Amino acid sequence: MTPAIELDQLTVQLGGRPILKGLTAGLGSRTLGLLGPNGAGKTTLLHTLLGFFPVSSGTARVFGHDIRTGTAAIRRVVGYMPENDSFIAEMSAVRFVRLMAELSGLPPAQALERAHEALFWVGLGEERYRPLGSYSLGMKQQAKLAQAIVHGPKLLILDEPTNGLDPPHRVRMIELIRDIRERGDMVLILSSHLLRDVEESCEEVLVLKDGAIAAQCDLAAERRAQQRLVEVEVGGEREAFVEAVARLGGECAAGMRQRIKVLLPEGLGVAELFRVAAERGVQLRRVEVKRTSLEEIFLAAMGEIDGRL
Amino acid sequence: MAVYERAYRAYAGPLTPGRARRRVITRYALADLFANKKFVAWFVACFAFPVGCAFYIYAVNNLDILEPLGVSATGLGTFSIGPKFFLNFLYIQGLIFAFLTTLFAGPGLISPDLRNNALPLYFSRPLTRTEYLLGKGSVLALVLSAMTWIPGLILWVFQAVLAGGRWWSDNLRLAPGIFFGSWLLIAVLALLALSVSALVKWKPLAGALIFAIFVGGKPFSLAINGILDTGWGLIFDINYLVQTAWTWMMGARITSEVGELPPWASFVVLGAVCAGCLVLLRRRVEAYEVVR
Repeated sequence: MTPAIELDQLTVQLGGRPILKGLTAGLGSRTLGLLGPNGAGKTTLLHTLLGFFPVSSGTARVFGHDIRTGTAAIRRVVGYMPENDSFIAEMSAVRFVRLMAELSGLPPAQALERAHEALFWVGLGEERYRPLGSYSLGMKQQAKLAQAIVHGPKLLILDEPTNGLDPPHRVRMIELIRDIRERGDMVLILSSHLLRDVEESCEEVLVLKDGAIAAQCDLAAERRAQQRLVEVEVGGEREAFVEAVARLGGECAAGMRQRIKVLLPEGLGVAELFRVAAERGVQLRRVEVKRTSLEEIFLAAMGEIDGRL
Repeated sequence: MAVYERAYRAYAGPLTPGRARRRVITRYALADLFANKKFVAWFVACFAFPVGCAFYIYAVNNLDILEPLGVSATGLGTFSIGPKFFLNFLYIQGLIFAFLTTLFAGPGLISPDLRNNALPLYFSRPLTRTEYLLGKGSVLALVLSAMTWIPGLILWVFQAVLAGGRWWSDNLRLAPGIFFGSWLLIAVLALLALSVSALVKWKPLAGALIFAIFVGGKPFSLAINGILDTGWGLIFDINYLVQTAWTWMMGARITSEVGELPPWASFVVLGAVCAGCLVLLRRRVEAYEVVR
């Protein structure tokens, strides 16, 4: 399947300074997290995909449309929620979202209906006639999300959607993002420097550092693999335990003291380890299903450019 | 199902053609403008003078109806309806009413979008900068047309019908003069207003700046003329430049001042002003500004 977004040696210079440096990647997941410290180039990458910044060399394709030549086609299928406050303060939410829907090509009647729907869906139904300038920060973020989805885009770009939100609003925003993901009818790019947001919402992660790709990671595959990695600490004959586990198809790596890392084969559960240990008369003093957090992935990526995890 | 019970769903309905997007911008901006009751009152007041002119034309062409009213028809009859009449009409409608309307409507066109950082939302949609600017500029073009060339041409036709004979062929030059002269003013006013609106985010200040450019040009140009002992200082007076262009287009002359600069100089300077405004708009109206 063709990835929704393909980066092909994408280089962007702004003010004579290279911001994106030859990015190459194929991003095929339905939900992509874009991670990186401040100034890594996340927002620049999103703006370049939208055609806001000129490409210095290389290119990128969104649903097969080249960003150098197909900006109009790309913008027809994209919904964009910017990081900063971005609306018309004097307008009511419903009028603003309707305007954005009409600019995306919806006829006026449908645009009005969809504006009401989108605002109810994001949780602003009762507040939709209030001027946007009178909204709280959380409500403004919800209104920005409503304008981004009102026209039913195929690609939804969310730039720091939980920025500045209090915990209840953040939970609400993450729920909305998950709801979008689970509907499965649009590809979602979530740019954030908050690892938790990405971990909770995304299937794939692209980590940027200094305008280069520091890591690309399939979180779903990573999670599946992690469920099979177990670290145990044994008491008694370690070698006998290792041999028995190897006979079941498990791979073992002996660590410090009596610790062993075990990679379980498909279909073999942790319960089997207890059974094998009991048969060999080995104590299992500690069993830990190893989970590499996104934070570890991120920190590892920050130490190594162009690393593959 | 009620709207509030619906969950998010993809849109699969019809889409408007691309050219309709510019009209969306214009429609919303016009609605915002006419939502202001003061503006509506002003807009209506702007038609008082054309209506008065229509009565005058009717009276001049029907002097006998004034006699029972005790109005001296002799005075009216000596003032013929010709180039001077229509040039005066343009002066009053264009340089007073259209200018003041621009002061009212112009500053609020782009500055709210810039102040609220709304441009990235516009330009993340299938809408180009040119379409956005055309959409905003169309607001002024429509409003100013309604008070300049449209009533001007109606008056010309009215006079041609009432006067009959050779009047229309003798004054044929006036019709394109009214039309193109009005559009010259509309282009200059709209581009200046849009540029100032894009440059200054605070509406009152933007209005003051437009006023200064139009009205402040005269004393500045006179000062330049006095200091350098030249007549070319008048190129800084946009009012004067427009008047010179109109005078040439209509084949008339009203004030003694007009005529000190050749018409071509007026057209060149006004063209340069418009080009400068376009360059400025191109630089300012961007989704994001790159700070170098």
